[in-house]
Amino acid sequence: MKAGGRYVELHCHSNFSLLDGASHPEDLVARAADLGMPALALTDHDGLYGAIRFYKACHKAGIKPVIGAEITLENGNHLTLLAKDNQGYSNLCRLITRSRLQQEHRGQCTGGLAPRPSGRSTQVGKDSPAINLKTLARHSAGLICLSGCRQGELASLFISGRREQAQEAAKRYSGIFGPANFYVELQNNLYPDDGGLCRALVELAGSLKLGYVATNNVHYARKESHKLHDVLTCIRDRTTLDECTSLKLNSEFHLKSCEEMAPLFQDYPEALSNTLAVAEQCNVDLDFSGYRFPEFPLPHNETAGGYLAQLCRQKIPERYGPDLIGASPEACHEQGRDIEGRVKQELELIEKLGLSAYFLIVWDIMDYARRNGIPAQGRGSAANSIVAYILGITGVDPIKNKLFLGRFLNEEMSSIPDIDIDVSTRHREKLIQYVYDKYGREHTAMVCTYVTFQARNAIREMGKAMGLPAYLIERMARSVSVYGAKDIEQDLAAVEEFRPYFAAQNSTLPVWQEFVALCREIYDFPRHLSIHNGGMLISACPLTDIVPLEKATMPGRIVCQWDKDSVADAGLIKVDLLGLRMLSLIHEACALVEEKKHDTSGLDLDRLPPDDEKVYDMICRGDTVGVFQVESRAQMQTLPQIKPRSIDDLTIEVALIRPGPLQGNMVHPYIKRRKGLEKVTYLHPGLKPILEDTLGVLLFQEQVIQVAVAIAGFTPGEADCLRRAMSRKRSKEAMNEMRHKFVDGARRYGLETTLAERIFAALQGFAEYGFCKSHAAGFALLCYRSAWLKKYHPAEFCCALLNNQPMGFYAPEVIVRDAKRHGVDVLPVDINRSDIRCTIEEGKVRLGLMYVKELGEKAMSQVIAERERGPYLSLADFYLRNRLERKPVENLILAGAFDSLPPGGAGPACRSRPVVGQADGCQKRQLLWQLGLLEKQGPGELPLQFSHTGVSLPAFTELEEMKADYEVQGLSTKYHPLQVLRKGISGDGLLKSSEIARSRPDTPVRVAGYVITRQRPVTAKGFAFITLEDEEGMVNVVIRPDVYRNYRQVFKLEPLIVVEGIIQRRDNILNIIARKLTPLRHEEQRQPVLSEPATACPK
Amino acid sequence: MSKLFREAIKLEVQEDIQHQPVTFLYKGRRVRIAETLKRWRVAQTWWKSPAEREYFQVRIESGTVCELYRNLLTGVWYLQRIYD
Repeated sequence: MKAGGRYVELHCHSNFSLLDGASHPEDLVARAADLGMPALALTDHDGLYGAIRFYKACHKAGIKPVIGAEITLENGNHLTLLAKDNQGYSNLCRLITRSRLQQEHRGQCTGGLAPRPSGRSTQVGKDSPAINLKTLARHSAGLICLSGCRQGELASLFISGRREQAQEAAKRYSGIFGPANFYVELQNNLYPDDGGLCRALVELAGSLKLGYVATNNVHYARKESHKLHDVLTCIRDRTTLDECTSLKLNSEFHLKSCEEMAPLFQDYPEALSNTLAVAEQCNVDLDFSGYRFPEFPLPHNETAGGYLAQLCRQKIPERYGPDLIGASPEACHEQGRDIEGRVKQELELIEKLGLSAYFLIVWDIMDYARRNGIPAQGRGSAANSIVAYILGITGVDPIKNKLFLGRFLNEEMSSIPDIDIDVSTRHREKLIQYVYDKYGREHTAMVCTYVTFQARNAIREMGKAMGLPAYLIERMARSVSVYGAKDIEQDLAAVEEFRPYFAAQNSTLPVWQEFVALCREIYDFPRHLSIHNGGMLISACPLTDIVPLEKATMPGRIVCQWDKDSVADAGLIKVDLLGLRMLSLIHEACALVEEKKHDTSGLDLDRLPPDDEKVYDMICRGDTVGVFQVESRAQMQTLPQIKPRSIDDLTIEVALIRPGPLQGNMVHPYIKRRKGLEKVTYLHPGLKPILEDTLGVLLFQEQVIQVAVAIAGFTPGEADCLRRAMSRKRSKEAMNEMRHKFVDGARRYGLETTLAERIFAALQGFAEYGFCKSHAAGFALLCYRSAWLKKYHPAEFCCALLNNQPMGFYAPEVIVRDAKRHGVDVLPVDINRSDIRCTIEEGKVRLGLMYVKELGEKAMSQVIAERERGPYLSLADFYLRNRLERKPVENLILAGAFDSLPPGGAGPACRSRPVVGQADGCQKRQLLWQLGLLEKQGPGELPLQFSHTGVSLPAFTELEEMKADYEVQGLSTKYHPLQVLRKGISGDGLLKSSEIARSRPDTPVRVAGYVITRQRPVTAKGFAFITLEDEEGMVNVVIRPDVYRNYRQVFKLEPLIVVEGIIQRRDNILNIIARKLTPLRHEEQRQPVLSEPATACPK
Repeated sequence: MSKLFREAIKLEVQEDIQHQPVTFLYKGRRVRIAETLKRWRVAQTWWKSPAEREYFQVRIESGTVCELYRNLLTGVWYLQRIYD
C-alpha cells in the first residue's frame, strides 16, 4: 500500500455543491488517485448531482467511490452522511428529496433550482433545503453519519462554549444512527481555534465511547484553486472580492495526502486510520438498469413482446394499405414480403434486447398525442425502425427511404437507443402531464440540465466578482465566442482595445492575468440547474429510491438531480419530449388557412403533393426565410447550387449544409458531382449500392455502418461502435485499433491494403459532418411542409412564425421585412384590433400585443377583456378603464397602438406645419404628455378635457419613431433603419442591395446595411460571414481571416455597418468579399442625424 | 490586554524541520519558545496584494505570550503582538 493509502477523504465537495466547490468530480478523483487514496467520498451540499460522474470516474481511476452528501438540518446545522449500502443510498435520496420538496412548508418557495442563498450561514432560508430530525431518524438505516464541519451541531456548540449541549447532541445522533455508525468529525484547516476544537471533540468522543475521523472539508482538488473558490463565493453572495465577508480564511481546503494530514492530527492517529475503516464499510452500486422499465399495462396473459407484435400486425395495413392497394399484384406481394420480413427481424431484435416495453411506452405516448390532435413526431435514429413507423412513432417510411436499422438497433448495443419525440411546443405540457398521470408522479420526473459557465457568462460574473470595470467587462463578454472559454485569453488579446491588459510583459496588471486564468478554470462549471428540454425519466421503482428529486422553477414541476448523461450512465431510460416550435408553427398556420377558407375539414399536410414545382422553385432561389432547416445563410447559398427537387434532395440538403465545411467556401464533393463538375466514381464497386443515392459521397451515418459491414465484414454493432468512435473526440489509439480491424476485415473480403486504408480514411474524414439520415428525412418533410405554407399562404405563415418566436435563424424584424418583400402587409399593434398573439386581418398580418415590451400576460388579458365591453375611444378612456402602470401604456403609445384613434379623441392635433422627416404618428408626443396628466389625476376626479388644455408639441421624426418602435417592440412595421438613416448619408458611392444585385463581378462597391446575422463557424478556417440587410433586400458578405483580424470589433459589436469590398458571383450567388468594415455611425462627421448613441439603434 | 505592532517587527527565528519556531532574537536576546498555543494560516487578498502567512501564538520561557508569523511567500518571520 502506498503511504497515501493510510487516509481517505470522507468530506469532499465538488462543483456540484453549486458555487461552493471549485473542482469537477473527475479532477477530485484524479487527485485522490495521485495521492494514493484507496477511496474517496463525495459529499456535496444537499444533492447527489455529481454522484454518477463521480462514481464513473472512481471506477475508471481504480479507487472506491463513497457516495454521500452534506445535508442541512432545520436548525441550519450541517451533517455529513455516507451511504454504507444501497439501502443507505436510497435513504439518502429520500432525505434529500424530502428536504427539497418540503421547502414550501417552511415558507414560500422560489424554486429549488435557484442557487443557495448567501453563504452556508447558520440561517436556513425559506427556499433552502433542510431536514428535521424526525425525518432523519426515519431514514437513517444504512447510513454512516459524521458530525459535520464547523457548521455541524457539535462543533458549533463547542465554539460557542456549550459543552453540555454538545454532549446531548452527540448522544442524540448516536441514538439515531447507532453508536457504530456515528463518528465525531475532526477538521483542522488551520483556523485559529481548530486545534482546541479537535481536542474538545476527541474528549467528547472518548467520554461517549464514539469513534472519530479526520476530514479536511475539501472544497477543491488542489491548493491553487482556493482563488476560484473565493470568486465562486462572491458570485454566490452577489458581491465582490473586496466586499465579501464570507471568504475562507486560508487555502487549506484542498485534498491533502496522508503526509499532510498526519502532522495536523499527530495527537490522534486513530482519526486517520478510522477513515479507512469507514470507507471499507461503504459499498454502493449505482447500476439501476434492473429498474429501468415501468410496468406497461398489458392485456390479460399477454407479454410485452407479444403485444407489440400484435399491434404491428394490426397497424401494417394502416401504414402501407394505400401503397399496397395501388400496386400491381406482384409488386404488392413483393413489398408485402419486404415489410413482413423486416418487421419480423426487428421484433426479434427488440425482444432480444429487452426493449419491447420501451417501444410500448413510446407508442402509447404517441397514440395519446394522435388521439388528442397534438402534433408530434419521432426524431433521430428511431426513424430507421419500421416498427416505429408502423406504430406511428415516426413519420418516415424506412423501406421507401432505404433507411438502415443498424444505426438504431443492433445486437451488440450496450446502451438503450434513444427514441426522441418532437412535439409542438404549445402542446408539450399536455403530453408531459399525460406521462405523469399514466405512470404516477412517484415514478416520473423531468431530467435536469446544468446551466454551466461558458465564455460569456464566465467573463461577466468573474469580472463582477473581481470588481473590474463593468463597461469593459461587457465589451469583453461580447467580443468572445459564445462558448468555449479555453481561448479567452487569445480571443481578448487579439482585440486591439484589450491588448494592453493582456500583454505578457505587463506585470502591473496581475489582476487581468488572474481574471483570464480563472475564466478558463470556471469553464463548464455548473452554475445552477434548469429543466432539460424534454427528458422524462420513468422508472419501475419509485424514483426517490434512486435519485433525489427537487422542485423546478416552474410551479408544480419536479426534476431529478441528474442530467441526461447521468440518467443514461445509471442504466435508466428517459423519453425525450422535445418542444419543436416548427410543429407549433405548422399547426397554427394550418388552422389560420382553414379559417381563411372557412374549411373545417382540415388541411391535411400528409396529403400535400410531394413535388410542387413552385415550392421547389422558391427553395432553389434560396428564398427561404422561416423555412425549416434551410433558412440559414449557408443554406441559402447552397440551395441554388444543389437545386433540390424532391424530399430526397431536401434530406441531403438538410444533412449536408450545417455549420461546417461548406461555410468556408470549400465546395463539397457532393455539390461538384451534383453540378456535374466531377464524375461520380466509387472507390470500390461494393460501395455503389450504398453510396449511389448520394453520388458516391459519404453523407450519412447509416452509410458508414453499411460500408463497414459490406467492406470489412463488421457486425452492425461493431460498425456502430466505429461510427461513434469517429464522431466523438477521437483517441488515437482507439482509432488505430479500428483501422487495423477494418483493414484486416477488408483484406479477408479481397481488398488490397491500400484501398482499404483509403476507404477507412474516407470514413474518417466524413466524421466531422456526418448526419443521421433518418433524422434528416424527418426534418426534410417538415422543411417541405413549411416551404409549401410559405409559398401558398405567406400571410398565415408569417403570422404563425411571429407567434412562435423565438425560433429559427432570424429575428422577428427580419421576418416582418421578408413578409413585406413577399407582398404581405404587416400592420402595427392597435389597441382596438390587436389580439395577444398576431392575427390575420383581411389577408394582412396584425401584430399582437405580445410584441409590446413590458405589457405582461395579465395586462394583455385585461386589455382584451375590457375591450369586449366596447372599443376604446381615446387614451383617457383606455387609461381609466384599465389603470395599467405607466411603462406599458407608454410602450403602447410608442408602438403606435393608439394611432388609429381619431385625433379629436386623443387631444389637439399637432402643429399643422409639416416637419421634414415627420412621421404619420404625429400624436405620439401629445399622447405621452396626456398620459402624464392622467397619472396625476386621482380616482373619482372628473376626466380632463384635453381639448381645453391643449399644448402644441412637435411630432416624432421618422428617426425618433423608428427608434421608439425598436425600443418597445424590437421591430418596426413601418421603417427599415437604413431607409431612415440613408437620408442622412451622402451619395458617396454607397449602393443599395438592389443595385449590388445588378453589379458586375469584380466591381469594387460600398454598401451600408443592418447586420441581421453574423457568423464565424469554427470549421470555416477563420472566415467570417455577415448578412446585411437594407430597405430593399439582403446582401451576403464574406470576410477573409486577415480582414477579420483588422475589423473584428466592428464585426462583433456594430449593428449598422458600411462594407467596402469586391463583388463575387458564382452560380447566381452573389457575395461581397469585404476589404474594410466601418461602423455606420462613423459617418456622423458628415451627418448630425447619425450622431445618436449606438444604444438607441436596433441591436 | 496586548501590544499590537501596527507594523510587525521583522524577526530572526530558528525553526524546526516543519518550519515551527524554536527560538527567536528579540532586542538582542535569544528567546526560547516553551509552547505553541495556537497555530493558523491566512491566505488573503490574492487579487491585489497577496498575503500568505502562518501565525503562531506561543508562550516563551519567561511565560509571556506572543504572536509571530512567517510570511509563506518570502519565508521571513515577524513579531505581530505581545500579550501582557
